[in-house]
Amino acid sequence: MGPVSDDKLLAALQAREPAAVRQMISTHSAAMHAVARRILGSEEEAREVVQEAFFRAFQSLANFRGASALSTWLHRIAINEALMALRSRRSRIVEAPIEVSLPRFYEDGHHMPAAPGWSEPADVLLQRGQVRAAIAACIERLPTTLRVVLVLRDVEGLDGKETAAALDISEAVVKTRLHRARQALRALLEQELLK
Amino acid sequence: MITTCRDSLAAIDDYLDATLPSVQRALLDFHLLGCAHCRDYFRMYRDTIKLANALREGAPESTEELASEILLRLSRTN
Repeated sequence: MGPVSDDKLLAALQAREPAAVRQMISTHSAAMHAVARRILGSEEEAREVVQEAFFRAFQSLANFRGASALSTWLHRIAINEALMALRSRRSRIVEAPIEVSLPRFYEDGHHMPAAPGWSEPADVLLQRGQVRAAIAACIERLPTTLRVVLVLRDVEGLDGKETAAALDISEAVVKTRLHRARQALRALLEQELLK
Repeated sequence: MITTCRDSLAAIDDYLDATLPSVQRALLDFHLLGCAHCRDYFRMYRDTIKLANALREGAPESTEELASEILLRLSRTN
């Protein structure tokens, strides 16, 4: 089956044509898997979440009205499934402290001297082989509460309001956690990029 | 009032989102002019966001096994 419009694909999917099912999964699973893995920090759980997300999507295809692109709809289902999986194991989470040095200040509020960080711009860094894998690994090292907010805001591009709604927390808490997450990620990237 | 490095860092997200009130923004710009530490930190903080943004697209991977599992589950629900 070659590429088809969302409308035609939708009709074929509602008829559960195997070729359409395969096309949908082939087209959308990588992005869904990526977000699930980043939220959960686990390859195995991400695979389960993606399978569950597709299954739920097929069960509710009749409710898909085309208000958003199929890819956006599926992506949100994957995010919701990953967050549900995260909540179900929240009681098992033991948050590790952030093992990186955050900025330190003198009593008068000015910076204490710190090691020089990286000097190349982000665009240049991204040309380096394996740098995306290094960024992903650094994100996975963040404590769960910080990682989830950073993934939704900075990787997935949700705004503060959407993130707050998805996580059932206030926008103020999203803002605080995002700030801490970015600081921690900067420090982790510094360690990684200067190796 | 933004006068120190600690104040600047506390306002960094609003500064980068361009939601900082204009007076505060001007004070922060003035601080950055004279503080190499903060200039460097702001540059890396902005880079950190760009590097995280760059992960938006996942790498393609084989989906045949996943497709087969979904089709099997769907067939059981018919």
